[in-house]
Amino acid sequence: MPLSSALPDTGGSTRGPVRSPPARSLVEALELAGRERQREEQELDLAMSEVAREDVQNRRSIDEAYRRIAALKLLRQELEERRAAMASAASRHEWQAVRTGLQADSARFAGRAEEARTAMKARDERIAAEMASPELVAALTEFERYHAEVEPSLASMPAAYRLAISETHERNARRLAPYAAELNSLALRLDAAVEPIGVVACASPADGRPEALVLVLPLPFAVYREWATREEDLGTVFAYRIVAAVCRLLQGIGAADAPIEYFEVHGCLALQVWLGDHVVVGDLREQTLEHIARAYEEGAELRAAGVEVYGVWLRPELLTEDGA
Amino acid sequence: MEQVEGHDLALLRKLRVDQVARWLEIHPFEVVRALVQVDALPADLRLDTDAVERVRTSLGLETWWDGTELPHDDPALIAALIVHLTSRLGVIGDSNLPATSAVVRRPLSTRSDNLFRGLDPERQVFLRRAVNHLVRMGYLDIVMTAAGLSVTLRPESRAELRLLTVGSAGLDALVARTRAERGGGG
Repeated sequence: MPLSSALPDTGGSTRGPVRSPPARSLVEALELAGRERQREEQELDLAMSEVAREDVQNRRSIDEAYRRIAALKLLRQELEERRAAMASAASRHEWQAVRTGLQADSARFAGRAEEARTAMKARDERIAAEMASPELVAALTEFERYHAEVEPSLASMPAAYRLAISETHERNARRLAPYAAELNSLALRLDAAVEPIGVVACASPADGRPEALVLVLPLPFAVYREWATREEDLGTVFAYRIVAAVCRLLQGIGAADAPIEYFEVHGCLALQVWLGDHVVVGDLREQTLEHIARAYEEGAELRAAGVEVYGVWLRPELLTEDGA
Repeated sequence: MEQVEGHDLALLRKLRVDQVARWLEIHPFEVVRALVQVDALPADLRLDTDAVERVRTSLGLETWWDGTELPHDDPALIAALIVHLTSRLGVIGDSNLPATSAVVRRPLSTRSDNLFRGLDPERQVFLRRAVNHLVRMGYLDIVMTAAGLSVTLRPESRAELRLLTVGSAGLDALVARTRAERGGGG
């Protein structure tokens, strides 16, 4: 096909035949094509470098974002560690406070128990002195002889003789009754300020179905371990009252036969009830505190000695030996 | 203890919880628990003499050794314990007596401290070790109850245990093992 017929129709002039562009030499055409290609390559290079630059910028941004994410992660970790350390320190402080509080209560209670013991000794001496009158000594002698010698053979005596002896004995017993009542009384009023004394309790686990109930009393463990050689004192009686309170509590929550163990916590007497084999009826916390309060109400000797007992419900980890 | 002209004022005093515990050879806290269970703990914590029997009954306390018939040597002591165990304890399937029978069945278990109550401390320690061996040998079972550890006799072991008491090599071996433990200071 001729070159002219391959050219596009410009559609403009009608004034004569279309003239072909001036023919270029092969060299010029090649130079032109070369320049064109160079220009296009320059344009592509420019575009590529623009892409590359943007790529670098984006990668830098991504790296920066990653760095920030890592920094935030580290910061979060540090904050969580601080929070954990703070919680641990707070928990440790609480544990230490429980330990210190129990030991302080124990020391104050021991002081009050010693005062009660001294007062009781003085009371008993006073009663003995009052009873040294000839009339009371005679009554006491008869009373003693009745129990040691007469009572075992009373049934075999003639009725009239038995009646006379019994009447004499009743008279002696009535005469001695006020002294006996006073000697048997544990409630001895002390002229002392009221000392608040806490009984600590917890359930384990803290939430959900309780497997164990623990109570810690501000009393030395010797009250339990050395009972055979230790003289009964205010602490012993206090322990009896709390043991009785726990037994009544167990009856109330449907665990009357739950085993109780005694051990030492923070240097104090503790008792643990295994509840894992029972379904506890009612609110264990409320009922425990209620029974502690009731034990105090019944403890006339505690009130007389100026001791005010109250229950405190704590988390179980505060009653561990090592505070872990 | 205060006295007046040679008279002991203790006669006027009621019993303390620890006194009752000492008589019954149990811990005072057990006395308190037993009395609470039968609703008989006085508010003033001072007890009458009938409290002793109440606690004894409530806790199933028995005294197997009265102190006057104590065997003199170790084999006789262990044999006597085995006689106590096999004659005092029943086993499951022991009797086909109807429920209305007036015959009292023997209990299936007893408190572990019943086995030793009334003995001096040295004999108690010796027999505790012997009982541990009897448990390991499969003659007895120990179960935990509210009142503490209880001992039961395995149904198939009664006849074998009785054989032990008639001067068998088994009894000699048991005595030797128990003595060895004592000798080892355990």
